[in-house]
Amino acid sequence: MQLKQKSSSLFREIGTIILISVFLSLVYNAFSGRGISLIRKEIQKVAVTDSSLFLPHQDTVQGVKIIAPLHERALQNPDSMAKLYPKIESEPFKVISLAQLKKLLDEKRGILLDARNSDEFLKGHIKGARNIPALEVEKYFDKLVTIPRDTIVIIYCNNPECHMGAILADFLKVMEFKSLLLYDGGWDGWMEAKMPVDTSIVNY
Amino acid sequence: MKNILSNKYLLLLSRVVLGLVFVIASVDKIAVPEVFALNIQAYQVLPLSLVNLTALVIPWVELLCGIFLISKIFIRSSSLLLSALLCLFIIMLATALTRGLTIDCGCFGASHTSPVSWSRIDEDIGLLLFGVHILYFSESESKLNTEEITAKPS
Repeated sequence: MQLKQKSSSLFREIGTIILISVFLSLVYNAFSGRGISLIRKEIQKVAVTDSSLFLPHQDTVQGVKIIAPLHERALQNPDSMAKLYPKIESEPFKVISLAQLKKLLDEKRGILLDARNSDEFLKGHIKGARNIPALEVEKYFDKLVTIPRDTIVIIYCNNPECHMGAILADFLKVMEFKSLLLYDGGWDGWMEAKMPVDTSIVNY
Repeated sequence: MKNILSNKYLLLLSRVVLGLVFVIASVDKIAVPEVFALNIQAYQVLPLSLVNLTALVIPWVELLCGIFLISKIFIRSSSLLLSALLCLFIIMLATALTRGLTIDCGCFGASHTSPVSWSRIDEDIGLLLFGVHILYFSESESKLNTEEITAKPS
């Protein structure tokens, strides 16, 4: 009888601790600047075709300039669009392959951002990458704001499961960067392919 | 042996060590929940929809239990909860190792990253021993305290 009473009070205490923890975690998460959504969502990704990356954009056909109909031009101009909802959730991330990344780097097109934390970056990174730790991205706002918005920005983190790249890409989308690409394979993919590793410190 | 293990100073040591470790471990996870969520996700055992909720609640359970243990409140329930969490961590680490995952263990949040390894399991087993020690012998201590209180003249 006494044992039953003891165990019921023990479970009541455990229940109380869990309930207080749930309550505090939800309240803190709601008011903390670094709060996260309660339900984690799958990152929507779409592969980028080689033709959209490497062929020059054709706005002329046989020397004649193509002028889109008025409604199409209006849609292309973000300033004329009603910004009722942020587009962040709905737009999938544009994902590039290792070969596409290598070609873009060889052609020196765009900038490469490493979204991992600085410790991981210092241990090794893709040559030419600059470190913008996704979880401290606000600190780098002054530097990011100087980059022209039409620059091709390639982001990578550890692997396809890594959310750091998506977090950084979301931040840059809000800053209205137009050409954001995610190298999905990330650092793990780069290492698996035995590509050159850089350990030098890049001040950014 | 039983007398040694039920020594109140030894129990105090166990409570303070286990409590402090969990308080320290929880602070970073509470401050930057995204990193802990990423750590949990990397183990690939929970459905994606449950990752964030787990990452939010577990550090608070760790913090509260740690504080309770140090301040001698809800000792048995706190030690039972922390022991259960440690068992869970040991299983998670072991499964990650057997699957050959090279991921961050997520033991102490963002500022103390360390890869999953057998030494992390050893540490957790060590902490589990503290938890079991408190769980088994705290009752005798509280009984002693009650006897001391009741024996005092009013």
